Amino acid sequence: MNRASLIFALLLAVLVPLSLLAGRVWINPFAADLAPNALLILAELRLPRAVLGIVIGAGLGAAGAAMQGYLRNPLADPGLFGIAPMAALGAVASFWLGAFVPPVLAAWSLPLMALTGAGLGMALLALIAGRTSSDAAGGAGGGIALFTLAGLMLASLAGALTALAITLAPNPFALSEIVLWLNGALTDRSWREVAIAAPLTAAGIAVLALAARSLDALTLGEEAARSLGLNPGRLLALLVVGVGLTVGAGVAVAGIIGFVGLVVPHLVRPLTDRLPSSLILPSALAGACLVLAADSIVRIMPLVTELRLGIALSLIGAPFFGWLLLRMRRGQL
Amino acid sequence: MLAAENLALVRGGKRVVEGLSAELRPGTITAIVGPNGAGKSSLLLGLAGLLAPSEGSVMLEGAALASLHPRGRAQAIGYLPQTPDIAWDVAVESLVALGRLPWRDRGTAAVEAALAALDLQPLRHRPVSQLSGGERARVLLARVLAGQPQWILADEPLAALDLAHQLALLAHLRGCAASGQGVVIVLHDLATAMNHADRVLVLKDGRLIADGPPQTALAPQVIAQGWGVDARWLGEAGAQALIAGRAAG
Repeated sequence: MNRASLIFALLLAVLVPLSLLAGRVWINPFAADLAPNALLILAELRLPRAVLGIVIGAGLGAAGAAMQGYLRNPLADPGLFGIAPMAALGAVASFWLGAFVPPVLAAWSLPLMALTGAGLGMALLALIAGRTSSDAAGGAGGGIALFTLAGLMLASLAGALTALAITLAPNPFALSEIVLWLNGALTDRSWREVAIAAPLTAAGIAVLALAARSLDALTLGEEAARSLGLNPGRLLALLVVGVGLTVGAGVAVAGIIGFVGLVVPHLVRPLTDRLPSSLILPSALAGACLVLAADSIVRIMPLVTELRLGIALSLIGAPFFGWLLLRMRRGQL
Repeated sequence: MLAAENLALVRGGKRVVEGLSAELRPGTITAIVGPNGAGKSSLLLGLAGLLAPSEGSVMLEGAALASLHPRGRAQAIGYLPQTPDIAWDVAVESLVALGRLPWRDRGTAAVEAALAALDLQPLRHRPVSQLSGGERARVLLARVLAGQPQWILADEPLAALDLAHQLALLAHLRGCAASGQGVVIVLHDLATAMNHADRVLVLKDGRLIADGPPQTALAPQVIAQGWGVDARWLGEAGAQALIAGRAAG
């Protein structure tokens, strides 16, 4: 465990109890007599929500670090692969197909459809990757660029189909459900969502960790990396599966939560030797901290309806992105 | 021995190397020269096993390079690309240590030896963004040396360097050859090839038009044939200069 991991692990250890106590109903752990519903709030509402925040943040952080390493670009984001929009498309489709789902599966239809969308996105990417890497059997030049463009194509296609599904929403209730859901939130999530997302995210992070040293080799460019024994096809497969699992699982249970994958590696990088392999674990921990902290803040904000987490993170993330661009212009990145 | 046998290479749908055979020996510096677009860099990629032959083969110690595991190939052949392309602002030491990736070990002794060989110890903690062009070229070569390859293949390693740094880098490469490694470099400057290489391969349009010691492979008639330029050599062996006149009639 490097220094950055230790720092963010300690921060997470501080944030978890704070997050459990904060909310519309503040819980005072030192009170002589806890409110009768305090334990219920903790066990049934706050704890699953905190765990889910940690899981989703960790997945997005690790995926962001891996994507920036793979694309050799500090402005890369897991969304670039088009997996999150595909998962969202799957979820939106579930609002449409709700009537056809057997009642026993009704509660599972949204996450399952979102995971199906993510899986479809991964399969399409693998298909495209097969084409680009066979072209790269000789010179790999342009392989990564071509693949990124394919991801962007997938993202815009999924975005367009999602917009179409919204404009043709079967009824106003479904429309508002879809729009609200797309904005990403951890409100009213239970252990059921944790059970879906946690194993998939853990598997995804493990797969990304397997790619870490190959990502280090890419620091020197594609040709030099291949001369160091990098297998581009294997790396791409690990990336697609790792990002697909982490991002797909996140979207399936919480909707779209942007900017975490973009922002987190930048918070971590100055604390490490800047090689991608040193970033993946601390970015997972920092992502968990960021989502947990942001979710606790939206919960205690004095608004009539709770601010959606996805909106809040984008409100923070967009100015941060602008600041990154300015720093890049000054050559500080 | 690193040997190309009737090698043909295709890049971007175009045949860039055609019917090329050459046996390269360790312990020597081989220069690959030729006019722009002659296929020099492609040949180097082919010899490094990074561009699969469309015909023929590249053999390393009697085994086809294409049949080797990428990691085994990477342990035997270190490749230095032409453009220094470093994505992250890592410290010199971390960058040089990337040369150990094919071995999956930290190889501390090898990394230290590479840093020492190129006088990089005082710079070991410096981020690569704060290096001069000459320092950066030394760091990138040290990365290759850290892998302790049998073969060092470098594409125009002198391109961004001033005269003093060029000579220093050539001296390092000579040291590698003296210690038994095979060194193959693509060069643009014919005088450097004449004065520093043991053997020169001259390419034109993907074909070998001369192969041998520099005095014969870079004879004025070969230069006229390859570059279409009348030229002659001045000076004594080891310190010769090329005087190019007009386009050969």
